Amino acid sequence: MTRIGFIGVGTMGLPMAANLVKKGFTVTAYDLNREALKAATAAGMTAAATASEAVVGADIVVTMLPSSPHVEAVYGGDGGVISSARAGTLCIDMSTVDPAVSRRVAGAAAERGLRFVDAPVSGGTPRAIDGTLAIMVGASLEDFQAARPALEAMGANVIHVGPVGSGEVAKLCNNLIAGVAAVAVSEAFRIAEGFGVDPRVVTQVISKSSGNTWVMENMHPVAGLVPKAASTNSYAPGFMTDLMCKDIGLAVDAARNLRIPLFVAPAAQQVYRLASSHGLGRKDFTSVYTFLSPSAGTAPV
Amino acid sequence: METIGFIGLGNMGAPMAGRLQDAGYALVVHDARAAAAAAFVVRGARAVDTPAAVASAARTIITIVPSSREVRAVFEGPQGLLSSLASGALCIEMTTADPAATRELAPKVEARGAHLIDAPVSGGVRGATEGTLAIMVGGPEALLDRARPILERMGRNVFHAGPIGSGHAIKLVNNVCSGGILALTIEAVAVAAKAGLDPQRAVEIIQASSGRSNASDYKFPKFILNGAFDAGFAIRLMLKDVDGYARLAQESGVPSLMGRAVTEIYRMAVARGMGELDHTAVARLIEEWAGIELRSKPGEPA
Repeated sequence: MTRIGFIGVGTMGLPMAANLVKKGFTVTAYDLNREALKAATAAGMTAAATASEAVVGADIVVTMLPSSPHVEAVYGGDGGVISSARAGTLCIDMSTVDPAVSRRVAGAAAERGLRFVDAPVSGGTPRAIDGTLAIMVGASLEDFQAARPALEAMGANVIHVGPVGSGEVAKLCNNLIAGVAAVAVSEAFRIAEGFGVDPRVVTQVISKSSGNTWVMENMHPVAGLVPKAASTNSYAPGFMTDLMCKDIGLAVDAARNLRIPLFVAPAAQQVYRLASSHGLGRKDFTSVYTFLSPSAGTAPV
Repeated sequence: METIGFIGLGNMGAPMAGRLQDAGYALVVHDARAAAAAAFVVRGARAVDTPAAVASAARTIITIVPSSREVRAVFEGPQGLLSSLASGALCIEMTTADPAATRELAPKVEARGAHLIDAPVSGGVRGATEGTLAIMVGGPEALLDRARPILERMGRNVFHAGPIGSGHAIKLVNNVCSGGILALTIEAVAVAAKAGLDPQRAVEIIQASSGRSNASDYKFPKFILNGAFDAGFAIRLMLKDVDGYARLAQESGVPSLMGRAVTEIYRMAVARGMGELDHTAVARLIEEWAGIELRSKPGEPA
């Protein structure tokens, strides 16, 4: 039986790890948050007191963490994954981070005889629960094959993108588009609403037209049109505005390093930052729609 | 008079060091390009091969190099300043650098029993040559008092900005204002020209009205309307500074819609191969987009 050490059992990590348990993997979980660890125990995992304890006897280590500094901290340093895991352990980082961080951690892991794969996910909490996440993998072919059974327990579309770091590249490209799309859909539906046109009908029209987008079909920013969308549940995340801001920031920073001018992504990034300043940072990113509410009818045009 | 160590004899550093030499200070100089020191040696300066040798010879050391990366190399590289700083020495860091990097560097200098202030400058090559730079100083006021006689040889307006790093912060803030207002004024004058105004007349009217700025007052007449494009500050350096500002805005959590537009206009210019052109030549890019040229008519005084 494959033993998995799973670090980071938060909003995404918990249902993902729970799916591993359901598929027969033995999972030892670690998280800084005690409540999260309790939930992990309830889902059939063993709780570890430290990250080191979670990985020391593991065949596979999975990490699902908020950002690049967390990943570097969990892998590096005393008691980190790299110093604690056995040689030959396969490390799968499923966080969304800077591809350069994946490559750096992979290099440090290789020096200690560990294998490292980046495998960020797309689909949000609903698909994490259903086990139907899209998973984009950066790895050697051999490591990809080794990671596949565990990944297929958590996702429906497991795609080998290229060498280490490539999964993160695909992910940040995807999130740039999703983030921009959510702003675009929100703006368009504010206009439709301003004209008094039924958003349900507009949604039907667009879903058959060139403006159709996954964000509108699955995460519609207007409440009540898509039952599973965060908007319908008072914009409870889902995927938080602050995290979307972070992810677009990764793409914008990468573009700067690649010397590519970007106009729409930095604007969208700042729209999310503004939304965050207006108290929407910990709501679902589609709550950006509420930030775009019009001024009173008496205001000058 | 006391000996001053001076590291970085580039476009800005050379005229600044020259003014200190004019004032009678003995200089120990270092530049990554050894030839840059020759003119100073002729006038009595001592040239040395490493920052460490500068630190061994002077208790006041000025650094002005291209960016934080070079600052780090000068202080922390092999044969860097940190290896030889004397107790009580004062480092005056005048590069347009990243404030966060400066704040990280300060305790390493303090650990040597020495001191660091940041003191970036504004005013360009002309201000450096004439000794009229604006100098914005981050660090304890007592250290500024110690540095002031030296700084006043190089600049006319020496400001205490605030704690360590704040000089570097306000420098980036100033440059995004400078670069942003320039790009916006160019775009607006292009719109005016399309609406039927002579570009020079448009600039004159803005200059006499509430849209007045350094762009309408100085850069348009001196570098754009006459097609000279020679203010002495390259587009790639403007991009470096506005990117530094964008990082600062990001770290401080301030939404930055305007700042992001500014970074991408200069990045676009660099992507179009204009990085080495003067920053006022960003006008050429905006003119190309607008399909118009913003030059004075022949015979019109610019």
